[in-house]
Amino acid sequence: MVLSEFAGVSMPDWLDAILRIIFIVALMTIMAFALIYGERKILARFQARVGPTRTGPIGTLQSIADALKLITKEDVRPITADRWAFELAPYMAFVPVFLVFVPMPFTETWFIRDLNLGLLFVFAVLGLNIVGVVMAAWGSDNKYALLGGVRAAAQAISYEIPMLLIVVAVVMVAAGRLAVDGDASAAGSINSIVGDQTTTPYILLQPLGFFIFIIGMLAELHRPPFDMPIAESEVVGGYFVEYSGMRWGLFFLAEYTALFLLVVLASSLFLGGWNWPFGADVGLGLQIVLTLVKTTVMIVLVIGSRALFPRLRIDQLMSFSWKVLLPFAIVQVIANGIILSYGGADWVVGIVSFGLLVALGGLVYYIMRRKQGEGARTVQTTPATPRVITAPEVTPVEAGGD
Amino acid sequence: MEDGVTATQVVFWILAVVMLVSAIGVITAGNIVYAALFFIAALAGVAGIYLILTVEFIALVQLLIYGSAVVILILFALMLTRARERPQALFGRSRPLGIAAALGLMAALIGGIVATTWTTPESSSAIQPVGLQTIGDAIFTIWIVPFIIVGVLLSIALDGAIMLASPDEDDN
Amino acid sequence: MPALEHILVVNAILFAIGAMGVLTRRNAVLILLSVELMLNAVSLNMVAFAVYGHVDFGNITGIVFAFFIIVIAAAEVALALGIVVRTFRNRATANVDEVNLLKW
Repeated sequence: MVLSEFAGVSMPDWLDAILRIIFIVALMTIMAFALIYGERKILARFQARVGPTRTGPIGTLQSIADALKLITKEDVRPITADRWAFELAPYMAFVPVFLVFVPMPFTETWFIRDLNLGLLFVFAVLGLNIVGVVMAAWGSDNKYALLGGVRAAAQAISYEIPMLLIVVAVVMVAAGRLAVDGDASAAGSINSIVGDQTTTPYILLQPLGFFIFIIGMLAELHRPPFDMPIAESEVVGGYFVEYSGMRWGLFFLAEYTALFLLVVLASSLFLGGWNWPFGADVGLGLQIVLTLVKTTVMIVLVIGSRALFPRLRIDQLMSFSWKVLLPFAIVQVIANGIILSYGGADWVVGIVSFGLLVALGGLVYYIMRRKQGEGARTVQTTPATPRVITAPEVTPVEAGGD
Repeated sequence: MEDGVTATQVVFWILAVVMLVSAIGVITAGNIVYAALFFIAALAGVAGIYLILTVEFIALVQLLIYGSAVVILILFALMLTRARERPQALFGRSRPLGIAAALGLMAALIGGIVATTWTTPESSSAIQPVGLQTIGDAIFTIWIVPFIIVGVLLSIALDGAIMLASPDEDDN
Repeated sequence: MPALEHILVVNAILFAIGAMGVLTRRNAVLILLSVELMLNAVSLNMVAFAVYGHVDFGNITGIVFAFFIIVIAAAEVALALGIVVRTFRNRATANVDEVNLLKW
């Protein structure tokens, strides 16, 4: 579908498959390079620096220099590390992320395969990546790596649940809308969800969903403010602390590829992906531009959150997922079910979801105020009680190096 | 499909071999974390065979629930309970007896399967993929009561696991 | 599609391997893994029957059963691991032979 239609020639299946794989690898590499460079530049701007400038025009070749450095670096394995787990872990972490490219719709016709269960596929396969993380953590035979890996696993499992539930809510809305055209069973395919957003991006119908998805995405990707598994000041780099050279590079590539893919997924589900909200027919060129603009905006948001928010504590992270996000996601699913099964209009869904989002914001604000009050009282009565205060992270950029 | 060996069959046998070898790895590995990692490979093989049987939904659910959640739980448990990692403690005294019993079971099962005449469809064209909508209709109409009971069971199990694993009030 | 008998034989071998693990292993978590192997063999069998028979017999109960088996296995793993962790905390062992308070 991708290349044969693009090039306008017919080719045998095996050649098509190989070309698609090459296409993915090239796209992934370019995206990773661009993301690393972009992260360094954007983060530098947030911190009133200029970022890399020396390699190439305005530093654009910095990522390539980093990659060269990684490739030529010595690949070290600690003598007490478990050989098989240590050597295989980067691949276990990387391959699932690579597979998630399959159902991603970059334009209306540019995808590898439009899976009917595309959304389930994304989460099922992406979840396997945590196995590689735990393998690395255990195989390194390093207690900081182990701590980081356990944190990563706990975080991944906790945030996967609200994320999946909110995707279920989105699919319910999509199925309700697609049923009007008589094909509700296509609601699991990402491309048909995007195709349905010709007039209304789903962020208007599911604002709570967008919020929970972004939070879950940041947590799944170990991006600040949810970067406890790889926090330098707490676990000296987390599960890949013992890795160097290209193995470390594979973890890094997996992380950036997952960032790119989840951002594409989020923009497909909530912002309309390749679709333009005002008018149905968009040409291929405009679709590419739309996808790029939407993903770039979201990438800047994700990278900006790294500069803007202080890191949470691990217990705050867990209780936020289980006590706040999960109940709200369940309520959203139930609300969608009730509204849609009684034939409620789309705007009712949107208003209910927006109301839930406001309620979530109010709840978080109330909890924070109460906690602040408690903290003040604790300090007054028993000044010796240690309060763990997490300082905002002001470490220099470590992207590209290790 | 009926003539000779098709590509699907080749893939099936590769997956079957991967699955069975990993399963043997699970029960013979001297290192308990290796056993868990072999278990993942066996699960991936099972998921692949689900794919060959054209039930993508079950394959993906298998990966989602077993592949990530269950395996992570198991790895946690292994890490939490590895005070004394003696290889000899992994196998019981009655190992030969157990192997013999399991081999006997295997022989009985295979004998039964071979001896039975299965009324399979005449041609492969009679085997049609089961759509997701069919599965959904079945679960939410015929099997709705079991489905609800499973949901209640899951939440009770979750509560029970939290109760069991959480530390006592006077532990520290 | 592979023949039904071939799938059944493979599943039977997987089931027997799982049984062997239950009978020979002594670590509680490893016994749990072996039980999971047996459960997988069973649900694979059910799916195979459903897929090969649903045209002739008009139902897909086997697939629904496999779904339920996977869900219940998740609950079972959570509970069993809770028990294992609790046992380990009380008796400092995950070896089922050493958890013998109720034995004569």
